[in-house]
Amino acid sequence: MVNVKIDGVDVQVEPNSTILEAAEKAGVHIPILCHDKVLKPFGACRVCLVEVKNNPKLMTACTTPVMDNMEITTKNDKLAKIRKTLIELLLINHPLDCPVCDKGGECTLQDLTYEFGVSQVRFDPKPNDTPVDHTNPFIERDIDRCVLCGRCVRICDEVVNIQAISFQNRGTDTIIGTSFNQPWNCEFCGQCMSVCPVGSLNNRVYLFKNRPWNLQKTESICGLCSCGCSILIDSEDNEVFRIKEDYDLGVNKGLLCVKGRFGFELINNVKREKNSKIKVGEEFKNISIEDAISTASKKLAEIKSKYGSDSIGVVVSSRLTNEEAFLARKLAKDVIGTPYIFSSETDDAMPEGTYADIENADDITVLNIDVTESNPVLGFFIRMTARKNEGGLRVFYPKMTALKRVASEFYTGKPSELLGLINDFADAVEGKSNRCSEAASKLLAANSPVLVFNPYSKADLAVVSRIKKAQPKVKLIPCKLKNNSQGIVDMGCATGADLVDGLGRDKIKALVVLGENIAVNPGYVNLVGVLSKLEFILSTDPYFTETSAISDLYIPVATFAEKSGTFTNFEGRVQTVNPAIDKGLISDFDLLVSLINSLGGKAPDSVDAAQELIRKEISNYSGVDFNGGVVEYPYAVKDVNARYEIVGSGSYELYRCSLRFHSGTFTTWSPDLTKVYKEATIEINPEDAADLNLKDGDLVTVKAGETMKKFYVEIEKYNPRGVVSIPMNYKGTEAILAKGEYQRVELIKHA
Amino acid sequence: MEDVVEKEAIDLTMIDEVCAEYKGRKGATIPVLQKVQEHYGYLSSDMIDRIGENLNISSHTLYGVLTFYAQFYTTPRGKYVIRVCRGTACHVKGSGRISEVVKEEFGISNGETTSDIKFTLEEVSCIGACGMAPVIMINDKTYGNLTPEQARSIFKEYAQKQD
Amino acid sequence: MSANNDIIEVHICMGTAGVASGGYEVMDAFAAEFEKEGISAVLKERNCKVKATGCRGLCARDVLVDIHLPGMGPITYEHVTPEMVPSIVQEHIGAGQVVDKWAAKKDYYDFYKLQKRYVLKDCGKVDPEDIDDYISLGGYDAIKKVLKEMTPEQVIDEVKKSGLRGRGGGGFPTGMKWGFCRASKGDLKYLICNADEGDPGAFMDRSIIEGNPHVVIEGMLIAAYAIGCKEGYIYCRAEYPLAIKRVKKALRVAEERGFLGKNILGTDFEFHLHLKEGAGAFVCGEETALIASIEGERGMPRSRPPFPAVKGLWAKPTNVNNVETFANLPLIILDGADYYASMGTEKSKGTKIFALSGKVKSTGLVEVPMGITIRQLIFDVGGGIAKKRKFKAVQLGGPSGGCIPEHLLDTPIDYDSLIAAGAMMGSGGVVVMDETNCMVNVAHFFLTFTQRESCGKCIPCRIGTKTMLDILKRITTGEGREGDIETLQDLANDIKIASLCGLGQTAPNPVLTTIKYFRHEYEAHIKDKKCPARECSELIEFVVADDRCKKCGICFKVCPVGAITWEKGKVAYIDKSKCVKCRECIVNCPFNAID
Repeated sequence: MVNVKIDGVDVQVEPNSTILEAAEKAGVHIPILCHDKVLKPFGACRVCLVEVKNNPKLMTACTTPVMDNMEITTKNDKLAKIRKTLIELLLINHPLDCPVCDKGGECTLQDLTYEFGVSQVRFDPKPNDTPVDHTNPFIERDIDRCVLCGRCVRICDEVVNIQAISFQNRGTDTIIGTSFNQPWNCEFCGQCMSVCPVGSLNNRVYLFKNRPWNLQKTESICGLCSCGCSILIDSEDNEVFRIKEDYDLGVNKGLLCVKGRFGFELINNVKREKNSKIKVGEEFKNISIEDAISTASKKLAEIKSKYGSDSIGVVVSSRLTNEEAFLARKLAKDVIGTPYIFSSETDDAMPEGTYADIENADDITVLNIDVTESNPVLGFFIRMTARKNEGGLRVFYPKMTALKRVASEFYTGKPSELLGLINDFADAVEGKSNRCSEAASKLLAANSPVLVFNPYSKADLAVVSRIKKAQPKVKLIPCKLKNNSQGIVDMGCATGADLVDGLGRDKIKALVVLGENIAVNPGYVNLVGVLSKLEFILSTDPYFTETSAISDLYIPVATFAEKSGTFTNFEGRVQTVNPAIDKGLISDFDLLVSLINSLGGKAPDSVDAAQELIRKEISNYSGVDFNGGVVEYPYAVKDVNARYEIVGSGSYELYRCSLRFHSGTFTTWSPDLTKVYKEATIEINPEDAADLNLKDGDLVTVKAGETMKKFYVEIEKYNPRGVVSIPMNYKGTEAILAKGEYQRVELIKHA
Repeated sequence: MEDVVEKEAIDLTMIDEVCAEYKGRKGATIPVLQKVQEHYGYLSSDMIDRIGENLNISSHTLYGVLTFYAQFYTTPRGKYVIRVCRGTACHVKGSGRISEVVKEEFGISNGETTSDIKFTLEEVSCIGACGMAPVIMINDKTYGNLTPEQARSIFKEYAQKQD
Repeated sequence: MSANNDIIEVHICMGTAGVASGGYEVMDAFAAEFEKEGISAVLKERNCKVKATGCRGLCARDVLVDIHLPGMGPITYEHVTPEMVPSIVQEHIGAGQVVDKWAAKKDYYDFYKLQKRYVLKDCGKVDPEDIDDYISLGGYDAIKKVLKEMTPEQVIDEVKKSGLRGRGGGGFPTGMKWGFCRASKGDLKYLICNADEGDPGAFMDRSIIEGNPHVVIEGMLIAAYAIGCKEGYIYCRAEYPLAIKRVKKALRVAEERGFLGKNILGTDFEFHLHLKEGAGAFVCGEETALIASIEGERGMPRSRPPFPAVKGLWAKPTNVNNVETFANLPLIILDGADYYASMGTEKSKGTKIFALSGKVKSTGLVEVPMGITIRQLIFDVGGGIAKKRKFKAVQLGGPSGGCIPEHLLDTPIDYDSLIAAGAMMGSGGVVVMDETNCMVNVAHFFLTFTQRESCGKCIPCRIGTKTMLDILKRITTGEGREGDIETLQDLANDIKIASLCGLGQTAPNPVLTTIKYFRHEYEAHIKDKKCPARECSELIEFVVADDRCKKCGICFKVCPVGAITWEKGKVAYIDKSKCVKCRECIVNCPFNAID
């Protein structure tokens, strides 16, 4: 530790601390503008200049490391004068349009102007006047207000590792922009916007909708994928206005992805159903929630008594909270007494590696998944680590992904070739000498390796389990799909029961579908015809979905922003979800409590009470802090025996890809996300497209066996020749994708 | 329309070769940009994308680098690049007038190229021939101790060149 | 030097100015002439050698040709053109008769009288493209001595003792700088030669590299050995094609001869030297920006600390010196620190090379011992002001320096005295201005340069210099306001204190010094809307003063737009409706008769 005196305050700090960090510790405020603690020191704005005793030059507090016995003055007339001049200079070009600027109230420039007492500018104003750029669908770019602090460029480089924007030109001509002023096309994670100190980068979903001082902040967990990101829900009058980050908060350390940050209108969407509906003949009729609940319990009791308790199935969505899933299982097992609990999750792979393991990894393997699309925030951490390690990242995937820029080994190719390579890699890790031996030896020699994979692919799991055996040090990270994919497994809803089988044997007469849109899930796609023959289907969902349409009773329920409970992320970390708003709808939890009680069970009367029960009944949750604790699992991966298989025939090899913009069909209710990605497209290599005379946006029919389906074409330069891909868990793709993970298909161009 | 055809016809494979030579070498950005520009005369959006793909660098970053340096151009350059030295010695000896003469003769200002892509005017920092101020260079040829009228007649001479 | 008495040598100055003035054509003419019948008969028995040498300084008189005849001192011819060559060959070389009408006169030799050509001693003699020529003049002896007799510490001590200070501008003691880098931990350290000379009005580094590239390489070898660097770069401006060509060749040959690479001169000393071409950014002369540029990034300066000596190129300890500094080193080693320190003043040792330009008679490259006065430099070495005009000011140290007025002409040239006078050594540009130069305009000019070259990273430099420039602009166009001078001074001081790098910290200097010494000119612009030097077109009336006009008609002849009417014996008249304010008449009027 070194001793430093700042404005007369003595403080002890770590030897490599900066003056700014020391000041923070001493409780001394030093103004900053270009600095951001998540970024490397830059020293551009000069606002944090301070005086260091015996140093003739002023030093920037953000860049200068402290030395023992340093004496620092942060406030005096000389510094005040300079700070004032700096702001005056910025205000020459910065338009004084604060009244209509979205940043008003939380703008660093505004705050500094006020703090330094800049009441007038000595220089002639020359406000910039450039048209506002709307090429980015989520971020409005007003370069007139830009102060060139470079935070956006730096976070996109240092943290996001995408480098979608850069400083351009020089001197007074400097701007921040894209290559040749191309449309701003990136992952739209919005990290740049989150660090912009002025109103230069604005949230288009929030733009002109509210003022920050009106908004109430609720800390919660994002309900869209399994990353488990902490978010701040900014709301007023039961409407969500924006989702913000807090760089001091959460496993995501403040990072968010496009879905999490910009997809929130799905909570406010006016298309959300407010009324419960009952099918009368071919029509749905609104009924009150009380009537809906009593109808449901009556119907279920009726069917149970008529056909027996195992005639009722319960389908659980991976979006439910732990508490809801727990009650769902309770309803099925204890109250109804049915073994038929269904979900699209499996317990083949359980959490093991954490974000910290990624950060400390010296060797990362990403096996056959585009994690930057499926779990974007996990993707950021992988990229940051690989950048820091200058390598040590090995990726297997049919095409180059956004990991390309930081990966040291990237294996791509047609599935028919790549899958063989992956097998060879597993062989090599097991000790066999082959073309992958060098890569395998790196993994074997690593001290803290991590393996990131897709837990829904049996064949991938088989490879993972072999690797884990050969290199036990490797920490496994299963990329679970949804916000509580892991939790519902833990709550006992992944029983391995097969809905297809249950329905097929004509055993099941009624289904309770909690939040799952089974009608478009490739796992259930073949059932749709059978489903309509059931006597009773109760479905819940925040939206009236395709599944609701085939049900007899529909009850609209709360989204994650409207309820309490916990989610368990891919790390096995349990985190608390808090309600930010109330749309006047019940949650699945409330519904389940009513159903359990009315069907003769005894439900806990609150989420807290449910948690007490979980601790009692779910053994590995008993000692876990529900606000960030990590669950321990008896195993990381089961012994799975499966082989890669490419089904079907045709000239093109098709694989399933992930979508960054969406998380199942739920996010298609966000008008903003759908603006960027509306309908499932088929990605195709440019040369293949040329052969077929296809352009971006053309329609092409995919023929897989007897199944034919039209898709719009999206040319993807990284897809290898002869390879096409379609996103999974997306509306309209289920019929094709249900056939297999990899398949051969034909493409037929439309006239 | 001929222009467009020509643009499409540019063969960018040379970029792959240059990049291969520098692959894995630190600090390759600027030498690669220099070599590519040396070959094509300027750097287009396609060229930058291709370089980025090869060197695994974002094209936006590359564009940021190239726009920082005066030596790189993003549009085709005139057949004759007139560099007017704006160094101190040349300035005090009236090089400002010489730029004006270029403007009068060809209608181009600093950094601009005539529409027939014959002349580009570039005002440069000292070219280090202060002893002969004011100095201009037309491509690699240096002309010193110029009066505006001498400069004008030199420009006229070039304008008449047919090759 | 013709050591062999039988050899006739023709040395042709082939620096940039020499080449630009037709050096190659002159060279070809000599070769052609030697081939001619008759002449070859006369010369047959004697060995004629035509040698391209580097700049010898007096660029204004290029092409300069030296004829070395056995038994006769070298004779210099000025302004040589190919047409003059037959006479020179026939009369001088053939018949031993100096062609007096073209031979350099007293003023040529005066140019060298006060100079101490020490670092430049071989420039203009040695063939820059011939390593053997360099070796024959004692080249690479210093590195041999260092490797054989000295430890790295001894080398650093010797450099410290010599008192050598960085010639790139700041004047930081070189030996001390090396000591820091040597003390930094790490196996891999880098040595960089800063040859990104971008100051308008400075071309000394270029002349050294063009004239004697091996001396720079040798200097770098000495530094690399002393600091412990295995890798090095010469970062050279791309605008110096000749320098680049010569460095490339020199590096290749030096490596072939075992002066670079592994096991240098049979020892285990290893040094790999590469050339990096700059891409046109003045700010890359700043060492952290230069490092960023070598790394392939935008040349934006980085905050210090960490200093490059600790964390420089690719985060490794790095030492950066400029060309002239390196060129001093072989001399310090061979002549000894004591001899070196005997030149110059107490705190500024050795010699300094200056690029003399502007309104001085003998423009060119000069090398003088530290401590001579500015007056001696301009009037004795440079021959005074051209066109019989009056001296007004001299800008020392390029755009970062300051304007020195007449009453300070006796300031000795050393690092500290210049700073006290408001200027700086800078890289050594000396721009002389006469009474026709407006000092507000000069300040505007320099600031235009620095402002254009500002990297844009920090606020004071990016916006501050632009704001100062805007104010200067309005002053020079007659829009100046009461209080502008004070605002300029105030802003200038803030920019100096607050800027990130040397470019911003020094950019206001020309403005501050011109205000300090020529405030009345600013006031004349602002209050009277007049430019006393009649350089600011907007403030000139363009009327002929009857009393001063001598009716010579020169203005009439030079006017490019025919706005002037004149008849023999009559006062000229300027038609303002046609006048484009180009100032040709003012510049050319011998009598300052146009107001």
